[in-house]
Amino acid sequence: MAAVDPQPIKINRLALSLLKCLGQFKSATSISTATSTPTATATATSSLSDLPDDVLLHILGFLPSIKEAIQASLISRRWRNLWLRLPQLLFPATHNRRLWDMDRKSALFIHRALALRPPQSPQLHKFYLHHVCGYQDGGYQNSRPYQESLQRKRDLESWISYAINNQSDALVLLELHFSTYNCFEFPAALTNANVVKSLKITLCECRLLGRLSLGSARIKSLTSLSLEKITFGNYRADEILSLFDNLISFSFEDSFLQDNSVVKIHSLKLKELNLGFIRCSGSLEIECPNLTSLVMNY
Amino acid sequence: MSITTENNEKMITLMSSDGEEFVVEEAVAAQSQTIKHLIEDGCSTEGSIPLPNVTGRVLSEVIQYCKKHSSSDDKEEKELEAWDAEFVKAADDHVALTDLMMAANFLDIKGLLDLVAQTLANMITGKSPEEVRRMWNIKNDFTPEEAEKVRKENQWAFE
Repeated sequence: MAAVDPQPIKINRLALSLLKCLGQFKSATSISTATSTPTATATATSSLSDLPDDVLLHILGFLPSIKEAIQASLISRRWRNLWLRLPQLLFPATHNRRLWDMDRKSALFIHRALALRPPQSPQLHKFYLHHVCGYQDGGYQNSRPYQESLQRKRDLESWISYAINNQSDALVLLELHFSTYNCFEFPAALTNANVVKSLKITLCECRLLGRLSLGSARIKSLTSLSLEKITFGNYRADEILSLFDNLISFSFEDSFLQDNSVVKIHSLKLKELNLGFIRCSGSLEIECPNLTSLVMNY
Repeated sequence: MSITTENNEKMITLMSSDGEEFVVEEAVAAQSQTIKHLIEDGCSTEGSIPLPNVTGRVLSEVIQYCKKHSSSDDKEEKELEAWDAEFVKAADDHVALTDLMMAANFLDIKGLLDLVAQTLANMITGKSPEEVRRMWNIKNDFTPEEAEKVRKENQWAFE
């Protein structure tokens, strides 16, 4: 193929319509079967460079992680900033050895990536942050780790705001995966917007979850929730579930419940329920008439 | 040119850039959103639909894919996956796959686009920039200083 039009589909379609109209003036040529005789030898000299940016981005999106997409920036100048325009930004989990916190390098990198992302980039339909915030020992208010965790909290708010302001209306799938411990508060940016569809929370004290219901802005868009290693304290698990009334998929694992409490999971919309390693001496009541999948592990 | 088969299936003719003609059922061709829109615009009632960006060799592969995917239903998902895997394997090499990718983009066939993109992504994974350049004949237009700068500013991803 000598030259291939590297333009987006819409343009191509227009061009095609024009060609078609011209074609109508030609008399119809002979019809052959689907395995027709070749009239010309097709030569293929395509290179990845012939593909439009959109298509290259599509390929980059299938790489195992954002790191591979970034590594591709060394291929040539054209590839250098391509990854910034990916519609899915999946930042992998990173841990600082000493703290249960995102390390400084990763945080700086995410800042830079979001700052450099061109405004005309495709809208985000996936945003993944594995965010471990707070630190395990807790309480040393003047220590550097504590100050850093405060900084990280501000970072998280700004990243979530970015994702929410740049997500697509059609394909809203904002995936946040973060863990909290002790002193951490739920990001306000998350509760103020109704775009998050999937959320996974681990290592969290339940009073943090309670804050999700503050004000009128419950996360109505949330259809998939996964809770892991949750300490319930004075909260009752069923109260938590009632905060998310549009859940279709609910996974609840490895958590302590108050003794003798009755956990009620009542939902008309819930289709998938996954319960595993829940420690409680009370009872569990499930009333979900539309459930299609139930997995229980003890 | 519109003809009808015994099963009352409407047939349409697609013409490749090198003049090959393919007669296929409308349902098969309509897997391509581009062709579907042309049919809806009434452009297929007479003559053949020219596809100026797709060679006969690539088009015959695309039609193979569309035929398989229009005849299978959801129950055969596993079988279809295996068929897809064989299909991209048969496409032979990265250059042929790039042609296929270009056609899938032009014809707007989402399933094929994803399938080939995944295959190409698998090919790139684990390769050095130099290897990727060699495979696809891409010119390295970075100066050594620039390359070093790119590596430095993205250090996080290279660790």
